[in-house]
Amino acid sequence: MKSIALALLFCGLVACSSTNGIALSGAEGQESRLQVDNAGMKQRLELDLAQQQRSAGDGRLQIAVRLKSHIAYDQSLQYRVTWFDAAGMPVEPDSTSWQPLILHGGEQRVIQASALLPQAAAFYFSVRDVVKD
Amino acid sequence: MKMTNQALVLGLLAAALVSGCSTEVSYGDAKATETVTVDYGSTDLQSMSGKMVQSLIDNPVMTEISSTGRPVLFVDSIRNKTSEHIDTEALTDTMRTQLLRSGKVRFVDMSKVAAVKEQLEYQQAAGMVDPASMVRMGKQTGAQYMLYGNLASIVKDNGKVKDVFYQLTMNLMDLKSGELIWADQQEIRKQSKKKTLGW
Repeated sequence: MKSIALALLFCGLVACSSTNGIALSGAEGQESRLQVDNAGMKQRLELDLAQQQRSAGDGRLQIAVRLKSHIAYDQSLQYRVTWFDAAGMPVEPDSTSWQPLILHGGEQRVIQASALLPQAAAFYFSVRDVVKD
Repeated sequence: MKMTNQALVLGLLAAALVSGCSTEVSYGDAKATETVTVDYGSTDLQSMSGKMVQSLIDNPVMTEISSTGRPVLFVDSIRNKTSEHIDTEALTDTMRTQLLRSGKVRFVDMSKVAAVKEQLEYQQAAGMVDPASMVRMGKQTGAQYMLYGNLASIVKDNGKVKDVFYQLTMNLMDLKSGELIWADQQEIRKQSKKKTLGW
């Protein structure tokens, strides 16, 4: 009887997948900050800001974020960038969606993103595991 | 005691069967990645259009053509060369919306030419419109650049694994010279595998 109950509990746990991850935030003239909401992901994925600049032509904020895998197998991830103005208000909040990303074992990849509008002064780059439908 | 356990197991099974037949409706996150099937989906639309717009507005060509003002573009269709029925107008609509919101370009909508012509002819000829508010013929802005593209796919299926490769190519043509001044490609590979166990 106990084994049946444990089996049902296990099935329930498998059906739920974690939707939190890790994120990197930064603003002009400030050090970027790593936020960890998923300690397991932090063990297998390193996130850091490779570059942050204003585009020469129109002054839009551009960032390059480096992702490095610390494990030997593929990771099915998704990432999203949210932009904020100098007052901390979101800039074009509905224009960004989660983007799928397969990071191979031990791979290092740089993701580049640009704000749509020049008033963006800060960013929030979040990564999480793909949630299976 | 044994009877009680059997009754409990039967009860759990009955509950599982009953809940398996019910339909649950809920709202989803429109911005989340979608992996229901391997076919072209909302994530592919958002990913391809977003990266294409970013590529265009980051390109030095865009800085050059928008240095003296916002250039006027028109979007021709994206030709669907895949084996699927895909609404490519959703792709062009998304790209046009994001480009407009960037404030770097302006657009004319060629899909509404007939309706606009009809309205202007009505204003000129019907005698019912106040001449002071009448929109004159021949005052529209002409497009300087044309944005168009192709969506192609390669599908491989061996019965167990289905692999789909999508490639979106977009071009920007200078209508005065006929030259392609920008082009880019975005690619997506999706795979579905049939499980040996499960359903």
